[in-house]
Parts: sequence; structure tokens; C-alpha cells
Amino acid sequence: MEQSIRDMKLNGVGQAAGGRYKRVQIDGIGTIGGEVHCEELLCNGQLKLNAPLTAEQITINGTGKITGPVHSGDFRTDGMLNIEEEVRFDKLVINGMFKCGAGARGEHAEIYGTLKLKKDLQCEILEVWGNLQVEGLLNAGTIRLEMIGKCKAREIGGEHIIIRKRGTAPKLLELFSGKLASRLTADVIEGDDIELEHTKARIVRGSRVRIGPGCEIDYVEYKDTYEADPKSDVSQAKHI
Amino acid sequence: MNDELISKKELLDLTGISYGQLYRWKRKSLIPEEWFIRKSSFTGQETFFPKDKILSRIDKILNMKDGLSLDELADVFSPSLKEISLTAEQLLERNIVTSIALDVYLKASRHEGSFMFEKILSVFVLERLLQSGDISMEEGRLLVQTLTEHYPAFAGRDCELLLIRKMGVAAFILMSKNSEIYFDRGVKVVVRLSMAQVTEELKLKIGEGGE
Repeated sequence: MEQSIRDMKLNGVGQAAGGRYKRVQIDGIGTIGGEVHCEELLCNGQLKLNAPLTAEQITINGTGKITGPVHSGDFRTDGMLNIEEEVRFDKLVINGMFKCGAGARGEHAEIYGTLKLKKDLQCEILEVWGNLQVEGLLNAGTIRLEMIGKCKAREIGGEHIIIRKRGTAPKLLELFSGKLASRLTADVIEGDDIELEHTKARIVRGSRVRIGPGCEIDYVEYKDTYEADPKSDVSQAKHI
Repeated sequence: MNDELISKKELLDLTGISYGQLYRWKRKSLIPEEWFIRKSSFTGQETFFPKDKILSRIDKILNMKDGLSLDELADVFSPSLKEISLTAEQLLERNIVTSIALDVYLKASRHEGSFMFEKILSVFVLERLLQSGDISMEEGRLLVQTLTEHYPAFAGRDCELLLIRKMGVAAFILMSKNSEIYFDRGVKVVVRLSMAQVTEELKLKIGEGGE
């Protein structure tokens, strides 16, 4: 019963049912109604998928909207991506904006632009240049965040956590309005090595904690070392 | 669910692990999501854990992590069934089950060939209950039938095995984890087993003998 798996190709404005394919290519505007399993999905233009997607490789140039859960190996988007359910990935690269209505889980994520998540994000390496808004827990082995604009996370946990502000000179916009300043707000940050800049948090706990300029922290707990920049405001620091 | 809770901070003090390790184990699913209980305390929101469960789990992880990689460890703790198959001879040779339990099983299920993990688990549970003297061989057959027919329905989710007796008549019950159940006074609960726990023990036992 071995059937050869075929390709799907949509050019212009088109609709298709889901199914199992080798390669799915969309040039233009494509709407897919059913679940898709494929080896490779490439979209130049707009993709709308009202079902789950499983693919070894996904590349979206343009916009993508997927209402079902997504399982993917290599996942790259240049443009805007909106997924309403859980995302699993090996490697995720986003240039632009990624919004997810649930949580995401994977190995390696690189975000150049904006990341917005309604639930938890778990991965081994997370690198963000830009904006990050996670409403749940951000759990990663290594977190490197270079902030542009207002960032937010309920909780951050991991081994190495480095939060920096991109560039040192204040931008013109920041001079006009404090709201647009690059700043991270979190409730709790916990990790082994923590380096923070321009962060507002209630509790920071870690083995080696370095508080850089512009921080506002209620309570720091550290095991080995602790350093704080004089330009930051730490209400209480305790060695345990 | 009247489990005693322990705060994250106390847990780290007690076990000597770091925040990084705890978060890493969570990522690798060595510690299940449900054990992270968020509660408000006087310092704001804090995370708590069921004390006994988390302490024994961390103890196991710390003791085993030298020999196994984290991914292999995750396999041990997950309630889903590993892809493994052993022959009857191997089962006896590695002391996973005794020939008595195996005989009862073979009589009850007319099984041939090698044993998949799910089957080994049935024999393992049977072995355990026979050894402890909780069931007779006749009841063992009933157990095998119950497990063969209904255990796959739980498909990787944790469940509990219950053996009750009323006026000497035995009945086996498989039910989803943490559900409440009450009986009339004449009923005696003989055995209550968590299948996830048995699965874990069995995986360890198979792991020790093999490779």
C-alpha cells in the first residue's frame, strides 16, 4: 500500500484541503482548511491554516496565521506569524513579529523583533534582540535579551540569564516619553548566573548576581557573589 | 491531596541544588508540570511543591544522573511505555519476574513470542501481587485480563490499580489518577497501586540488567 507522497503548490489566490505532502509551496495567498503533514512548507505571501501543522521545515516570508498547534524542526519566519495554539520547535528564527496564543517549547530560539506569548516559553537557548512579552514563565538554559522597548515576563528561570539594553545612549523617543524606554518588568527572576540592566523586578534569586544600571529591585538573594551598580535601586540584598 | 507542601526556597536549601538545575529538570520533564503549584504567600506569589514526591524524585535524579543522560532519565519518569521487548527467558534470567508469575500470565493470555513493555508490566504487577500474598493464582488471571483489556485505554496517562474484596470475592478496578472512590462497609481495599510508580520501578529494573 505504499503510495507516493505528492507536492502541493498554490500560486495566486488559492484554497486547498489538508493532507500529507512532501513539499507545500504557496506563492500568493493560500488558505488551507485541514491538518497538514509535510516535509517542507514554504510560503511567500500569506498563509492561513485553520488546522494543526506538522513539518520538518517551515519557512514563511510574509504573514502566517495558524489556528492549530504546530510541530516543527526548523522554523523560520521573515514577517509576521500568529499561532493560536502550542508551538514545538527544534530551531525557531523570527525576523519580525511572532505572536502565540498558548505556550512554546523547543531547543533554540532566535528572535529579531517582537515575541509575544500568552503562556510559558521553554527552550535551551533563547536569544532575543528586540521586544519580549511573555505572560507565563520564561524557562531557558541560556537567556540573552537585548531590549528595545518595553519588555515583560511574569517569571524568568534558567542557568544563565543576561538582560541588556541595546545601545547606551538614550533614544530620542525615550526623552519624550518614559513609557517607550527599554525596560524589562518581571515578578521573579531566578537562575545561576544573572546579569541585569534596566530591569524592574520584585525578587531576584541566584548564585551569582550582577545588577547593572537602571534596575529597580525589591529583594535580591544570592549564594556566591553579588554586585550592584550605584545607579540602580535595590531595596534589600541578602546572602544565603 | 492533603500532601504537605514545600516552598521552592526550602526545597533548594534542603537538597542543595541550584535554581538553574531545577529549571533545567523542569524543561526536560523530569519534574512534572503539575507539581509546580503557585500560591500566594506573605511575600507575594511563590511556587510550592508536594513535599514527599519532589524530595524522593530529586533524590532519584541526583543518584542516577551520573549514569544516565537527562533525556534517558526523562524516559524513566514518563508514564508512557518505552519501546522494548524481551523474551520469556530474558525476563527470568534478569530476575524481573519469577517463573510462577510467568506461568500464570501465559495461562491467562495464551501469549506467544517476546514480550512488549506493556506485557512485561502486566507480568511485573502480577509478580508483585503474588509475591506479597495479596492475590491467589486464580485472581492473578483476572488481573491479567483486566490489564490487557483496559490498561491501553489510559494511553500513557497515569492510573491506579485497585483490588477490593467483599465476602471473599475479588474485583480489580483501574481508575484515573487522583480520582476519589468510596465503598460500602463490607468492602476491603486490599491493594492500591500507582501504575506510574510501578512503570518507573520496572524501567529501572530493566535498565539495570541491560546494556
